[in-house]
Amino acid sequence: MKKILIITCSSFTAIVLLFALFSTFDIVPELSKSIVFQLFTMSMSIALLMFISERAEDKLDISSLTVDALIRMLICYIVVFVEGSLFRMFPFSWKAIASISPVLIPTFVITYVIGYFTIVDCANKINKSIKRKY
Amino acid sequence: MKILVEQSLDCKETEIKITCGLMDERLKRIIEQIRLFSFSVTAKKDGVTLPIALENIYYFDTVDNKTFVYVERDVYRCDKKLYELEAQLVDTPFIRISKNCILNTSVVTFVRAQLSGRLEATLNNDEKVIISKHYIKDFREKFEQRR
Repeated sequence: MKKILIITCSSFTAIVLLFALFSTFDIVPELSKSIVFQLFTMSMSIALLMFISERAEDKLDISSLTVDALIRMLICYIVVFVEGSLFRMFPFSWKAIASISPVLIPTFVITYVIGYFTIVDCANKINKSIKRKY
Repeated sequence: MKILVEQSLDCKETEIKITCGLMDERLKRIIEQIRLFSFSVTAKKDGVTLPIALENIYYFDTVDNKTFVYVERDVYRCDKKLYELEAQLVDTPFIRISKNCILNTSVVTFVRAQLSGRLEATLNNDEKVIISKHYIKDFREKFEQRR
């Protein structure tokens, strides 16, 4: 649950900031109350699906970084594309995929980096505990 | 806590007897450590069956439904399934770290984060094992218990 919340919060923060930035250049629509809620729903859906994919990767013993990144990227695109179309943020078309990429790719990278640093922090704590033992 | 050691050349088998009131967490940890040093796992190599002391085992690994016991410089075959071992190794420094591996956390010297979100643990013999994302929380908690 904690992990899902961390991914939701970090991706939501990143996507709102990028949305606000890109809306000033008219790449994406202006941020409104409904868009904020829609973006949060997207962030939460992505976090949930990523959690499920992690379980599946463990079961299937997938350890490749490339496969892991591709699965995560695919989840992001599917959720944003499907929910974005349902919420009528953009039309349900292939062109929409290109239009969501400027927001989606940086959000994905930021979330991935935050996830990595969470693991680094965990490793540091374990190493401290090991050092105490010796 | 009073520790009483009785040494005698007539003693054939070492016996540890704990007399206590209520069992507390500290006492449980002491018993865990005693268990680690008193238990062994029966393993086979080249047709020879032999007991391996738990403290000498680095990890258990399953390949093609066969369980292997890894010690510092050797590998043995074990008849037990990983889930059976996992149940037996509760309250010892051993913990499941992936779908097919149970690791002795007392042989871990260093842990490193991987970009894929997994942890890579370096063992006393410089061997490296991977901790799957799903097991990281329990793995970390095992070390936190040592505080």
